[in-house]
Amino acid sequence: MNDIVVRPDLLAAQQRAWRDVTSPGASWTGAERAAIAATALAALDDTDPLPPWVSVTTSGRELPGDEVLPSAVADATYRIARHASTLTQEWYDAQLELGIDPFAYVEMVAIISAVAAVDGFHRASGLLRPPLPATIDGDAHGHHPDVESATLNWVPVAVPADVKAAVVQGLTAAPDDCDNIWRLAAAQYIPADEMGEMRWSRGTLARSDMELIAARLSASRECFY
Amino acid sequence: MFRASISAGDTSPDQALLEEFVDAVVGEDPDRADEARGLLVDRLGPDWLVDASAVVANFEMMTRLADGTGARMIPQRLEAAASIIDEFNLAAFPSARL
Repeated sequence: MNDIVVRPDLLAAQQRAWRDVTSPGASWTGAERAAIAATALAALDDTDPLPPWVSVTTSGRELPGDEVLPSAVADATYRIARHASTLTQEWYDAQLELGIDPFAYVEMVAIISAVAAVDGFHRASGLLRPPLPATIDGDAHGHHPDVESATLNWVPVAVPADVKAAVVQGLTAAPDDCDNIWRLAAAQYIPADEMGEMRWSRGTLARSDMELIAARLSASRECFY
Repeated sequence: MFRASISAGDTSPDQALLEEFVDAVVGEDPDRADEARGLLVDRLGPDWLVDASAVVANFEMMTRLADGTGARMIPQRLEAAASIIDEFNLAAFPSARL
């Protein structure tokens, strides 16, 4: 596979994502975000994955974020990375009761989603996944948008709620990370402003081919949405 | 993620190749994955491997986003997709938020 060349726009989006998930955010420090990212990678790499109802921190396994993350965060990260389709509203409510702030939860989901993207590309292509870059130390900046409850998501979303599709508004409580995700989506799939163009293509896959891959992958992950 | 925007008669002749590629690379058998990648490159070229892998990556990302944030489809979309949901028994997915 030596003749595989990754498009520069895709490579740039992945490199930016890797830098973002190891840099300070709104709710988490740089070290905490890097630990969430490393824990998500450990979950994705786990060759003997725990069932969804088992908390990884009670399993005796070592996790890369052990020294940095509260156990509730490490457990939630493993579960979302590895068993996202098993999550329920009750499970989400339990995470809040365990002390995870809703803004921090959304930011955590965004980090895990970005990690799943970069990991997924390398797993699919057979190319070597780059390691996470060195952590950029720094405190969380603590600035959050105005949010409200949504009908279309469990999580709070930036106001006004429910005027956009659930996946579009789902991470808006963490706007910087939301931008990171949509930068990745533009390079991996379709730029947002081309989404309505059913004949859009990069010159290889037709839109219908992309949707076929999307449907097949989503079905294998048992994602109803 | 449920893709209501694709229709059955709208896929390329390489549908089976792409389906096998996705199934192989999300599966647990590295030899099957290698073979599927090799077939894709041989038949369609290395750029197809990159672009198909990028779409896989996108939906590895979007499935975590959707299920991590508890995303629901709007009622009109659920209604429009009712026959497909029934045909493939999608409501049985634990992630079905109806």
